[in-house]
Amino acid sequence: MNAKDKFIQNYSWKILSFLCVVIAYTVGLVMKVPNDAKLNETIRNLYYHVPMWFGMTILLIVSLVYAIKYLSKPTAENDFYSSGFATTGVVYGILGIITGMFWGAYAWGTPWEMKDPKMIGVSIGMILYLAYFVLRGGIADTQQRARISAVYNVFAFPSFIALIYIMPRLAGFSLHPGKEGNPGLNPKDADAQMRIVFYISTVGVTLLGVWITLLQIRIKKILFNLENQQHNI
Amino acid sequence: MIRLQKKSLLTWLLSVIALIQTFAQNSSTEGALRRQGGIYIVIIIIAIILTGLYVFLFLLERKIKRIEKHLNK
Repeated sequence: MNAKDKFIQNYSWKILSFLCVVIAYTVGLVMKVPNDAKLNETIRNLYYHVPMWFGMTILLIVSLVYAIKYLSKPTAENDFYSSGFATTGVVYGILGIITGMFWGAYAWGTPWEMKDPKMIGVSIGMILYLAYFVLRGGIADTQQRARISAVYNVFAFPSFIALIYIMPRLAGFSLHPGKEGNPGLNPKDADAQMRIVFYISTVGVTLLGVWITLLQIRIKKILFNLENQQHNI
Repeated sequence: MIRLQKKSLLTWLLSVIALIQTFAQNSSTEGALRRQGGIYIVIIIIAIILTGLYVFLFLLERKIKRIEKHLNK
């Protein structure tokens, strides 16, 4: 592979991410939206708030995949990937909560509606994942830390999915849309045009998360190698 | 390599300054943009911020690459 191919392979998806994010974040502000008496212009948050959750879910799935990979083949690299994707996923989740609080304050009159099952689920889920990092921080031995946290990840992910996607639909009452089917994409609220911008935004934001994660993993590897070198000396 | 990086940053900054100046001239001639409510300015600012963040990530990656090369030697 020559240098040009390598450059294209390395940067094409990053440029795609940039284009998607810029297009969705700018077009989303001016494009016509359906009239909604309650949401008004805040319906545009579909392009900014909801992709955070979709991106988080995808990043956490990747984290789970690498946790399973670690359990079948325990290498330091699999552990770096698993924990790295979990970190970015949780950052996206926190951003989703903060942006959702502002939206909720406008649309529901309260930033935190305790009766909403999705909010209860997501707060428990975030605590689940924060516990993952506490667990990692608490174990000094690197191999033990990697193995125990991989097992924890395998258990935490299905619980998290059950809490934010399944439980709100069973509860029967939610301020969030989508308890009838697809979460976040209620056909009554979002028309076809809005959905296109939403998908573009989701792709861009998710790829951005992947890029940040890969950089993080490389820093982890550098630190790991430096520590090993010091041990050998 | 460092020189190249500085050059690309400089071109980026210059293009931003040129962009600002075009709009400054527009507003001096009783801007049509101001009458429109100025949402396009907001959009341009968002685009600039996002570009800046992506350029920053790009440069960060190059820095990491350099450290990796240095360590592999």
